[in-house]
Amino acid sequence: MSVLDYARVRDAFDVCVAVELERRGGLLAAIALNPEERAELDSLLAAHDAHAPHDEVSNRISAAAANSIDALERPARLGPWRITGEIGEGGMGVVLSAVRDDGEYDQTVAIKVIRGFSSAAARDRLRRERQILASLEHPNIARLLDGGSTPGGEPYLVMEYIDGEPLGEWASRAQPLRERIQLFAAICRAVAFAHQRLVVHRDLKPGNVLVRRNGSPVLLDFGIAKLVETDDTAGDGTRTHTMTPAYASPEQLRGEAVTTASDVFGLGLLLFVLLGGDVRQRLDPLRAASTSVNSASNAARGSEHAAVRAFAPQLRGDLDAIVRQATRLDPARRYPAASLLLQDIEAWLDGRPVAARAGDHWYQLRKLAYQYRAVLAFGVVLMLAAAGFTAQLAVERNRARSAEARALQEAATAREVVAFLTGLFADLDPRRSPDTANLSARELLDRGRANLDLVPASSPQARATLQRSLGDVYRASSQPQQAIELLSQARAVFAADPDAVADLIEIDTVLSQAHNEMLDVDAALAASERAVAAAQPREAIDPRRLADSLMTRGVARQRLNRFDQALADFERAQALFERSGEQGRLGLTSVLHNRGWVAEAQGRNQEALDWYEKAVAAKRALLGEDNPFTFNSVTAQAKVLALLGRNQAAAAVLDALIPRVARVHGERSLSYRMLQGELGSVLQDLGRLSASETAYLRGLELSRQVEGDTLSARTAAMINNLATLREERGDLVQAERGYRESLAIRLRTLNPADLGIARAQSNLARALIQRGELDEAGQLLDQANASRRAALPAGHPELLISDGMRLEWLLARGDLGGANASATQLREALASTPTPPAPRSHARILAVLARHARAIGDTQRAVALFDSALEKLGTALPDNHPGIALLRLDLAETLRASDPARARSLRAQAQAVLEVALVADAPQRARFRNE
Amino acid sequence: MSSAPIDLGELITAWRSGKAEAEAVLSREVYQLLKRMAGARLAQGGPATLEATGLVHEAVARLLGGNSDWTSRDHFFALVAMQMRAVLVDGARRRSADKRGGGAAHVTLGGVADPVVTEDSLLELHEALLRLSERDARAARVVELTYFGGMRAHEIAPVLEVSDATIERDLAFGRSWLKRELST
Repeated sequence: MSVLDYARVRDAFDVCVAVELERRGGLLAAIALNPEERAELDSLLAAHDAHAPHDEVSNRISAAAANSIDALERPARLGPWRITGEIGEGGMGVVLSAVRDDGEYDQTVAIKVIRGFSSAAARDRLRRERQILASLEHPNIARLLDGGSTPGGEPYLVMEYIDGEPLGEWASRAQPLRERIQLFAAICRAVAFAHQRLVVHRDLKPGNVLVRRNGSPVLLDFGIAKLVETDDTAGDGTRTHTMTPAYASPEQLRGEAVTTASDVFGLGLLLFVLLGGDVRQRLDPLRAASTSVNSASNAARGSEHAAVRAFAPQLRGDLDAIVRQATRLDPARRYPAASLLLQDIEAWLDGRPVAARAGDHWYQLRKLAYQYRAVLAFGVVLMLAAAGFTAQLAVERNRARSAEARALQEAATAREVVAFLTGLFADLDPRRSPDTANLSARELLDRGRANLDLVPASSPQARATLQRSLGDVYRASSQPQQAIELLSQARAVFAADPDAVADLIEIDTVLSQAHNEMLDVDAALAASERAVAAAQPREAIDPRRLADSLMTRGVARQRLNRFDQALADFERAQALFERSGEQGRLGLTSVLHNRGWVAEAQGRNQEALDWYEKAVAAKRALLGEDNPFTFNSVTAQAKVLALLGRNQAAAAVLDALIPRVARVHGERSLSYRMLQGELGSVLQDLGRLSASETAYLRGLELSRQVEGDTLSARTAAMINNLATLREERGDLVQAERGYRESLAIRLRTLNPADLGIARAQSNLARALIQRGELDEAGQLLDQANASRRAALPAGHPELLISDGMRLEWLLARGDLGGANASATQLREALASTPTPPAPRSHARILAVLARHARAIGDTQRAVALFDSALEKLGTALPDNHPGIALLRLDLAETLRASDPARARSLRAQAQAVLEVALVADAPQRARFRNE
Repeated sequence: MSSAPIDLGELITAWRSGKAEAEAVLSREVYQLLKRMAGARLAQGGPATLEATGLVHEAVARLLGGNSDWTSRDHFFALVAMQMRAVLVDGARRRSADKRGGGAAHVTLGGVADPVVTEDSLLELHEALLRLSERDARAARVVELTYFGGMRAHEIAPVLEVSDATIERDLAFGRSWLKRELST
């Protein structure tokens, strides 16, 4: 009897199917198999070769899956649940007990069958929102397991059945104070967990908390009140009222938006009850809405239970304060989040001081939170990260609204969102929440963006809303590329909605800002023109949005060197902001900043510094230190300090600023990268060349990582500045390479009229002159000069720089005739300009005039000009700066014959600096070596 | 009485770090999740055809979030695929039992030609797979991961610690084997 060895069959099968059919016969003959094995192999090969139009396996699986759940239920059963009895009947319907008896998992559940859910739309919504609650998994929250509709069409919810004692009963027994508080801490933790996932309980009361035999509390009906209340189509008579008046917050009693703060209130009442308090006084809703609860210690003193009376004295002070803080009538004055209430409870348990007694500082935090919009916006992202399904919730809300109700509901939703954000803001504070401390803002954002894919494509509205929120956050956190992508997608959807004008204005405004940040001025101008055009007719009702759009248009115009138009936009925006009251205060600080910018762009640096300092002071007062808007003005202040040659001051400002920016925006953010560039530039001027190079390279490395193959104009500026550093160190090959890259990027990304291109051309020309490539240098100078003359008013310092470069080039060519004319003209322009160039450029112009004087044999004038160049440069750069050393070398060469002693001393001074600063093969080395 | 709800994130972490007892609990939780998701889909009146592989992908995405660089992702995928098979087979078996028990008429979704055949056919497939795994366990596993998990050869290879080519061969063999078994 032979045995079938499957391994042998399998080996033979593998060999046979690997070869062509016609070669198989020969192979089969060569394989030794017993008859059983041979028969098995033959039938398998036959199956393998058989032509099958469909994949049988796959067909069977998908057909079976389609049938895997029964669509309709039998009576006495709901889904897989067999009804075993009735637990009770409540306001919303009957509660049944049931077991699952399919032999797989034994599980007892509580099923709530909800009555009065008349409309199909409401039932649909219930089904969808249920999913969010089903994802709430926490040991102290009874799980929503399942749900569906009865054969009669009534929705039902299946919840984990909890075997426990209601909190009120538990508390009426002689529980020690400490255990009561520990139990309460567990409740707070569960509520905070749910809040972080965007679920508000809405109906916290002792009856909804069961205490298991092991002493752990379990919250029932989390978020159920919300599910059930959404039946907005039912008439008043049938509408289900789920909140319990004695435990409802004042805002709920008034019918206002329910937020996390309402749950904080509910928690406060639970604590009050746990401490022996009695809420019967709140049975009258009118009184309850306007009267605070009694102090816990007073309530406990009057308790009918001896055990409660015994601990009453211990409640005075901290616990009284905690209850008071949690149950304030004004939601804004309560703990902004359950996690913060929990912190106080934990502090009490540890014997540490309790924040509630420090006064009203949550109120201040909340006020502050409104201002930290960018940081808060991360809350949106956290929400996305935490609950991808929220999106659907938003869609359904939007869709179900009737036109009249829409405005009101939107306002309510906005309030809810702000309240959530406020809570999340506190939760995001790394000192309070170690979990989120590990996530940088950027990671949160990227996670949020990834979760956008979870939003069904069938919900374009919700997707657009979220894209817009995320886009706003990316923009606020200085990642404009991502912002543009998301906002453009969102815009397409909003543009189709005639009621979304205000949204569209805002989207275009933010888009314009993002384009501006990318230095894509044409796109920025176009977006801001759209925003202004849409906002103009609404000026009377909505001055602030018009002002915002004017501000962004002003910025775009400014970048196109239309200074007067830009200033007009800023000034008009200023007037509109002043009319907008509180809402306009932030805008007014931006006006201060932008007027500084206009002054700076026109070369009035001292005036610019004054405006920036005003802007910084105003923003610090309004927004605080760690705010992106404050960062902007501080950055501008540092830049203009550097322009004024006050590099020490600039470096000090930047050193303080950079770690803050890293903390708020992350190191990959555009602003962090650009500040590294700025720091590099200031350090370069301070002569700290290695530190400068480190800063540039750090910024560039990050930029190349973030931007990949499509480097931005901002990065080009950094590349340019690094090239100037290399030029200063005599590394002309690297300098030329850098200037070329910078020019190429600017030509690709900037408007042809942008002076950034002219500056890059001019810089590249300077490097080429030093390398003797005069033809190309001349062409570049012509182009740069043409752009500058077209854009700038006569006497602008940049025009003098242009003329200086021309003279340099003429000298390099040995064209003395041309040089003479050019030098005369340049001297006159320099003498008559109202705004002399910044010290470095000024010194460079004086130096080229000096070289011209030397070239025509006027040594005396050359020496005088070099001396004044050195003096100018000395106001901007430290004495040991290589730029000064190189000028000294020039001067030494000029003085060689007339004053050899001074020449030697100057050369020695220069050499000491340049030996260190210059690269090994710098051509300048020859100038002091050959002497 | 049910056990306390479990933190799935923690469970996955425990399972990843090789805690043997975590696998059973995690499998049970994944089973529940897949059931809930399947139920929710149908309750929403979504597409009548519930795609098993789509559910598996969605479940993995939900449980792991954006952790695409997660090294044990494929292993986790495989675990979910196995549970998907269990969910479908259990469902088919239960309905099949209901019919034999003479309960109320079984109502199925429209659009499927012959539901009775469908249910039995899945059980048939399941049993054929069991037989295959007695003869060639790895081939059976490859079929399962391919069809119930929607996994590709290069995703299965690291789970079973063999080459992609071996997976392809396993699949060719397993498919032929099942085709033969199901046609007789």
